[in-house]
Amino acid sequence: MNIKVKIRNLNAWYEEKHVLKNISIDIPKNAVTTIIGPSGCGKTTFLRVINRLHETVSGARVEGEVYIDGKNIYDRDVNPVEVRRRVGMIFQSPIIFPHLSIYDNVAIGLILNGYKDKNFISNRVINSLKEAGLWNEVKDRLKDRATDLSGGQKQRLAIARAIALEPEILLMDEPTSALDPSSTARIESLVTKLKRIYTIILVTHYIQQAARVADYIAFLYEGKLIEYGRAQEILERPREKLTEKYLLGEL
Amino acid sequence: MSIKTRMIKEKIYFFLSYVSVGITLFILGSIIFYTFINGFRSWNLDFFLLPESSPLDPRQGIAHAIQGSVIMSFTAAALATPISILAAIYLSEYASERVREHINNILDIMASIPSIVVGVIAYLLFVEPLRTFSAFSGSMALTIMMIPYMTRVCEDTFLSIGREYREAGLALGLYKWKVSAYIILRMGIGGIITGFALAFGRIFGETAPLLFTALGSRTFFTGFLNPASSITLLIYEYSKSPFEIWINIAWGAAALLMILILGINILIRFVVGKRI
Repeated sequence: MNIKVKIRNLNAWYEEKHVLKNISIDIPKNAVTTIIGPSGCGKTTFLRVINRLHETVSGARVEGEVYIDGKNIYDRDVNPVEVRRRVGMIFQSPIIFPHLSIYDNVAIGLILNGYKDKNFISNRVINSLKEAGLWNEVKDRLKDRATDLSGGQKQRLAIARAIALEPEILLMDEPTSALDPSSTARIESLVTKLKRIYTIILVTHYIQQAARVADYIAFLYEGKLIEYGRAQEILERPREKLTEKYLLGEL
Repeated sequence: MSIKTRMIKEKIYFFLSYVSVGITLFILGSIIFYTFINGFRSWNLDFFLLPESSPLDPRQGIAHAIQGSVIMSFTAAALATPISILAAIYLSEYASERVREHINNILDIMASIPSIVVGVIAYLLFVEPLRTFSAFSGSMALTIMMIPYMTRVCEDTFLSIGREYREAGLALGLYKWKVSAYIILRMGIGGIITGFALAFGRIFGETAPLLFTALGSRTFFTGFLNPASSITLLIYEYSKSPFEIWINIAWGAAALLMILILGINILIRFVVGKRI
């Protein structure tokens, strides 16, 4: 197993609340690792620690180590902005910049990160839209406002925007919770395709979704990592009583 | 209470509110009507193209006052707009909640200072040291009036933009200043335009801050360090003069001022309405 993200003794607080408690985990490269657990167990915070977004909220604090390719991203000499360039993030509700066209919604990350060559940007935008499975639906209206897209299309546009920067890791925070079943299915099949290129960490509260897309599953409960392993093993033969209870819907 | 008395009460309330609306509309309507009827009479080409002449000369106008108003208001807007936007960005994006609250209180107090007091302050700050009434001092007085007002509108606009947009920007590996400058500022452009228009309409119709600063002038603009006229100063001067020609011109100027401010408001609604 080729490790992409190695986390050791990770603790996170939000003001007085101890959100993540002493988590250590190894997340493999080019696989989908799913974080499951009941609401408020720290799933989202766990994602936000990996791209150093957690600390941008006032009152938030992190302790511990998060290694990406062996380098601790919480070392003093690491610029959090550089980390976020390498770690893309997809949010729960699709975030579309309403003042921008479909094309510019994807190009904005490139443009604001200093890419100047128009051809280069345009190629990246087209490829990202293709990778995100949105190209055929929007190729004739790239200049239109992105706000007119459907919820599922918006989420794929947000994915296109994230992968346009060619990140190594994609964090997805319940990416389908605001979507209908057919849009959800499209995003899920996209996730299984994208793992060939990216390391994907996906938070979900649907066990069925974890079963469909996950290679590995981590179960968080009250800020603690209860169990972690291959998806099939966790789903079929959980070792911990808590995991079993959660999977049976008894928590 | 029986149903009947309740219904009577209901009717009285309805009647009173109806009458109040009527009174308000009547007052507003008669001001507009009276100003326009009296004002339009003095409108002609000379009125718009010529400056002041002797109070007995029928061929004169308010061109110098329009020019002075435009120069001073736009100078104030050019100074106050960038300051207000940057201050609003600081308050909404960088200031801690406590600092923001304190500064907001100060801004609210500043915005509610009577404009005559702003005039006195500008007199002490600019007219006295420069030893002359001037268009510059007038512009500064208007700038002081515009900043707190516009800052608050812009700040409220930026704060109304959800945190998720900032996070989406940060998650793309952007520095915070780029998120503020290229995402928050761009998304808030409608609010910025509204804030600008409201503040501009306000300073454009101000007289008091200019009384002790720009003073007024009988000629076209001669430079920022000389006194200058404005439409409002001209109305103030002419309406208390004993000359019929000047009193009529004051009505004309009042009608013009009302139309300009109304026009700014309608234009802005149109522009902003299209963007949002």
